[in-house]
Amino acid sequence: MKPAIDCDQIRQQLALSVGGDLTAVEQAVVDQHLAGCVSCRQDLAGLRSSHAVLQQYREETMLPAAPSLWPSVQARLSRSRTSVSRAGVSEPQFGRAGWIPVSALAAACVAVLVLSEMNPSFNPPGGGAITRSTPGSAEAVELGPVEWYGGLNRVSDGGLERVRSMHYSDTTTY
Amino acid sequence: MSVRMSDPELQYKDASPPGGSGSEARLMEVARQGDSEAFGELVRRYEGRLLSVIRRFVTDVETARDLAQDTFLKAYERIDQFDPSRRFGPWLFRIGVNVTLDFLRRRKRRVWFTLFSQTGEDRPMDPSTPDPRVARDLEQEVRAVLDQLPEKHRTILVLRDLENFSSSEIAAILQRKEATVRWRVAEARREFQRVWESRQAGEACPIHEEGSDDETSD
Repeated sequence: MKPAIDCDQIRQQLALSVGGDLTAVEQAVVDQHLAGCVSCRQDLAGLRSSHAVLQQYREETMLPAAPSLWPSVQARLSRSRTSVSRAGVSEPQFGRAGWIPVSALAAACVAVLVLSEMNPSFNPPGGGAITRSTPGSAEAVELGPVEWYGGLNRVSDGGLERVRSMHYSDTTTY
Repeated sequence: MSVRMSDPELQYKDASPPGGSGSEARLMEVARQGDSEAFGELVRRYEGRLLSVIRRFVTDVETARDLAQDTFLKAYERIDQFDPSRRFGPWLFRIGVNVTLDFLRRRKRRVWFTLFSQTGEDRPMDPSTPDPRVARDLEQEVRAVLDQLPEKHRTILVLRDLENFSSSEIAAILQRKEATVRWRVAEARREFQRVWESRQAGEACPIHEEGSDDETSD
């Protein structure tokens, strides 16, 4: 007798059948097909065999009772809350008090830089000329005004710029 | 269409905890207001089942416990995103499956990096061929087969055949249609059978491309 439903159509149903995943109506259609189809019965036997392996594995690997996770979870929650509250206190301090002096300093440096570019004779408060003592002479030679570049003192000397602290054991007069 | 739970013991295990989902929604609401003890009650209700699911993916018990803790912490962090009209369980298990799969993906990347960093003779054996030196027991063999399956099939088999979630529960966990889940269950069982039989016959099985295996979305 030729089965009423195609083998390709029944393949998915067979895989569901082994796990009891078919409704009664679906299972009846499958049973009807199997009654007249040897290859699908063989297919089902293979599926049942591998599914039985999975079920045996499931039984053999059941977890024993274990201590509750809650104490550890609770401790981690407490730690994260503590760090959040600490961040909540420190962030405004950093945001308001911490950044203002840095930005003010940067603005001041830029202002000094701009002024010195516009007026080469400009000397900032506390600034001055650098002089060098010539060996064997008490006379001090003036090298030029100190220019301020964001806190780094440079000396103009006939177009040459030298970093003051690197070159001379000068007598510096401000 | 409905899928029944065939195992009475698991029916008990799966039954809503005392008070039911209404009670869970209330616990979540109290926890949302900052009462961690209410959340602790939910942890105690679900930790066993969650740990069991994670252990199906991760062999090491301590790693599984760490991942379960991470899951609960993530759930607590996202407590405002929980829809009180829905059940807590599927939401929690979805987070748990995602946390676990993310961990496994990271570990897999590390393993590949290690493999490519090693010299040929030091490399471990190809997992797709049975180890001829050792007669492995059933547990090791099944785990080896599961590890070879694409993530989408492994996830479905773990949830349906090893943890006995119903198709509708799996659909809620994975946020897929129930018909899609049934199709995947059938596919996964076929794939397990194919790899298992090949392995028992001593044949090497090609490892399937994982492709777009991102099973869950959260």
